Amino acid sequence: MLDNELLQTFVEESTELLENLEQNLLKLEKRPDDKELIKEIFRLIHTIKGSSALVGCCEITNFVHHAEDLLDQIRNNLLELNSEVINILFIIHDIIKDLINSLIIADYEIDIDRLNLTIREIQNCIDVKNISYKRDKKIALKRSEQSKVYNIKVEFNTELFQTGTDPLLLLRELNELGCFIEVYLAYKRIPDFFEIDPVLCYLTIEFVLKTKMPFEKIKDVFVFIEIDSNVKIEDVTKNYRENIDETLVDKKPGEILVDKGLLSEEDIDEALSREILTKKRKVDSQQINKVLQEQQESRSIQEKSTIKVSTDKMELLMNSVAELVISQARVKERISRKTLNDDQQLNASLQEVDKKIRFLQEEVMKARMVPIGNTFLRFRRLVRDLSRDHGKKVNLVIRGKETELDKMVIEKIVDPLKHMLRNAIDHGIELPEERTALGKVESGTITLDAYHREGYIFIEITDDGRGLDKERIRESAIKRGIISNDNLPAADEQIHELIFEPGLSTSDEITETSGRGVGMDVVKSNIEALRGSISINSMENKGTKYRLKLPLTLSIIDGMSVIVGDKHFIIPINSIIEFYQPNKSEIKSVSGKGESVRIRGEYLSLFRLSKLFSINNNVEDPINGILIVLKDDDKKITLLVDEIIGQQQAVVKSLEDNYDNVQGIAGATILGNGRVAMIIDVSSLMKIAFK
Amino acid sequence: MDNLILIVDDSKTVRASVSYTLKNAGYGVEEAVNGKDAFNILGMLSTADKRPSMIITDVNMPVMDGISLVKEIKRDNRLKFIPIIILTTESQEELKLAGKKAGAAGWLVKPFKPEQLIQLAKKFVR
Amino acid sequence: MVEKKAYQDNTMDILNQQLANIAAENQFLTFIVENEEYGVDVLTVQEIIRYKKPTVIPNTPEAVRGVINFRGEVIPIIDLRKKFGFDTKKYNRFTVIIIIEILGKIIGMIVDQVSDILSFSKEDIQETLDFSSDIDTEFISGMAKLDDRLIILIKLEKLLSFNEYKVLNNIDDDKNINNETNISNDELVKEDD
Repeated sequence: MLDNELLQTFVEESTELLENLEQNLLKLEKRPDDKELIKEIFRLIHTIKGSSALVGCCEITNFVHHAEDLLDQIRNNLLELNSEVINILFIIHDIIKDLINSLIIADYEIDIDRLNLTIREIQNCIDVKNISYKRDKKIALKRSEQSKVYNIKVEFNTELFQTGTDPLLLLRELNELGCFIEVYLAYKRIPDFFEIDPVLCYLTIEFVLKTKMPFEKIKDVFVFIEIDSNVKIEDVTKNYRENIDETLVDKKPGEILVDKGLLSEEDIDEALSREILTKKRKVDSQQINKVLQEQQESRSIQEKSTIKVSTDKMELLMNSVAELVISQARVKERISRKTLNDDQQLNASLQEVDKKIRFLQEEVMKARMVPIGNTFLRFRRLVRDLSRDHGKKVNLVIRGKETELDKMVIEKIVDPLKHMLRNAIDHGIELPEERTALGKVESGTITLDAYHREGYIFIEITDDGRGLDKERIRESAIKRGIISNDNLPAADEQIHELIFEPGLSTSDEITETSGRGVGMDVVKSNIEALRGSISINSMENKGTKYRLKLPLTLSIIDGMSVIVGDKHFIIPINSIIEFYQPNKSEIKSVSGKGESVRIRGEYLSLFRLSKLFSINNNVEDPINGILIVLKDDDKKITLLVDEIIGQQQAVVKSLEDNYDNVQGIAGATILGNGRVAMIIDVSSLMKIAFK
Repeated sequence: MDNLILIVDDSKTVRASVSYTLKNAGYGVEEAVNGKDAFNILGMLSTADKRPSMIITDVNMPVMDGISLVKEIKRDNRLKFIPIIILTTESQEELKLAGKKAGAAGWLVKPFKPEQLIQLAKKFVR
Repeated sequence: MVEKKAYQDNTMDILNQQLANIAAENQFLTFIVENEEYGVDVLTVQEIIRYKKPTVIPNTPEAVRGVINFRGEVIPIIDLRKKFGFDTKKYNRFTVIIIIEILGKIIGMIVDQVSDILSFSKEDIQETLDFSSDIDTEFISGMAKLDDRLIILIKLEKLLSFNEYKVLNNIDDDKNINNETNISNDELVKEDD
């Protein structure tokens, strides 16, 4: 693992923590008295500070330190949490995010001014005198050239083993610092054999160590035990020349023995006078039980066993499954119908394989599905900031959080969704005064909703603002030559659709967030690139609703294989209502207006695929071909094809990979015989048909 | 295992950093994300008759803080002799004492340098 | 359909082999379109294959004849004759498709005939000026002279810009019907794996 990986881990973790932080800040804004929230926020900041120091990102550590100071004051009730302070907290979040981004994005520019300004603001808020934290005393280690001799006497605490400390390892550590001239074990404390408690420590050891290391280094060895063991270190260099204790000369043997702790009389006295720690139950069993219970009850995030898989890997998996489907089709192609009919076992085996592949495909698809809730929640911050910037009051309502979407699809719709939110806040929702004047509630409401229906996913953004201004759109469109005066579309719907034309903007000034007119057409093409579609519904003064329709999966679809002339096409099953073979009386043709067919009393437009795609056909008269009734939302048409081959799964190969987007075509697929067939996009086909 | 070390910390970065340093120095490392997780892992290791030679645990963790974890471990007869090191920050002097009182063998102040970690390991792991 | 092995298969195989062993600087694969010789940077060439009947993409510019399955990928096939403004010829056994990769996209070009792989030194190549008014010269990055042969070197990125053709062709929808009338009996239609 390289330092790079460690940095990546740090960035990943911190990004998650920051997202948590933001959500918590948003909650805090509504409930500034919530102590638990403040604690949690402090903990998040604290963790980020610790981790950043660990990986050496001092810039982050230093800044977060200031943030921590601020939060410390707040949590100790020394600072009031008003809206100004909360704002600073939001800015702190943004700055930390910036700093983290600068770690991984080359040439990323950090707003230094904002950073410094924020630090000053923090310092203004807090009472600097209140902060007291001890700084670690930096011990300057100087290597002395001269060897010194130290006498180290350690009387190990009887309970030493309880902490898992092994005196032998301490000895070794000491030994590394120099060399032992003398070592004495005082076994005076060791009781009679039969009274020895094997879990207690009765050791008292005396070392004489010759070392070049400074005093602090020796002290360090005992740093953990000096609290409850007796450690005495003495510089006795002057006593030792030639490694012999010269003070011994003047002492009586008895004294020496006593000094060395080998004599028993004094020892008994000592032992009796020393306090022996009784084993106290330091933990109340009730408390422990409570904590354990809380653990089980809380839905901790780490409980779920999850693995993070990159989108690329999922993409690869999906593609592999897709290729598997193609290969399977090819195998089937090679086996003639006769063989299949004759060989029952072969048939059964193939069906087995079919089932298994389908299952695999569904599971892989499910694995890629992620609830859209997270994405929606991220928008809260955006909505808050934008409303503040524009002086509007906006309430964001989120529905359908659990609706699951393909991970890749989510990634690709985030920008379009953001853009539509911007539009809603910038243009849609009116200023509070305007709203009250109109009799509306002061706060505008934007609703985000997501749901599954008929094999598609729908995402809606609704606002209760002023709605689209038909007149201005019409004017703007005429001005830019998108429509001409004699060709005016009358229906509201058509006028609304115009906002998807490139270059159209009805805003007089270009605000920072929108109004440049490069918006909705790009949104539309982004959605269409995902084989989805977008529609608008708007009413003056009531509001606007955007509806995105996206396919459940990008890669494999269930399709109906049809033929026109000598060409194969695949039509997605989801869009097919029924097949119909009309008789002569049911077909009506009006010159200049086209054809239609009457099915059970209802008249539907009839289109010929051969005409729409300008290709040859074999069947002219609809009564000799097949009509397919197609639907897109609530619109229905019938499509004439020569023949229907049958149902098949089709792996969608995007035309855009190597070519370009084509109207009416959702993509291509490779058939069992190796040929390429086009997959029809019903939505845009209808658009072509009605043009 | 003779040189297995268990690191308990809710921060991915800290776990990764400790793991990296200790593995490079030749130790085996197991990771736990909080007290409960640590117990699960210790339980599994025990049944395989393996026990870590040292446990390093953060103090500030949700659900079960480090000091409580120390106390819990000390109550378990199979585990109580494993030396436990608590991770504190410079502003938490009092925790060092609290830790020792609970039965911790020592402490390490964050942010720490890799050498400090290795030095610590040498103190408690053969 | 019966596969006819065109005699040019040999040439193709040889060229493909050479392609595989290229260590190329300033090496070009040359081919012929309407009696003119053109060249493309050999490093962009993936393979040379026999003509395969493409699947038509509806409502696309004339020069885009459709798509084929090339090793599991769906790639567009461009008729260079049409692109350069000539009438389409009947496809026969000399007709090949050169598969190139440019800007991350794989596309195929239909040419009359492939010639050779040639090396040019910098001196042999003469850069042309950009005549942006004339569509033809948009594609040319330079001219190379070898003996008395004049080889027009092609700017491949220009082949990718389908858009200007889309715009141009929208003016007159009828002209853009992609008809399949130009295939001769010699055409090799059998799909291979």
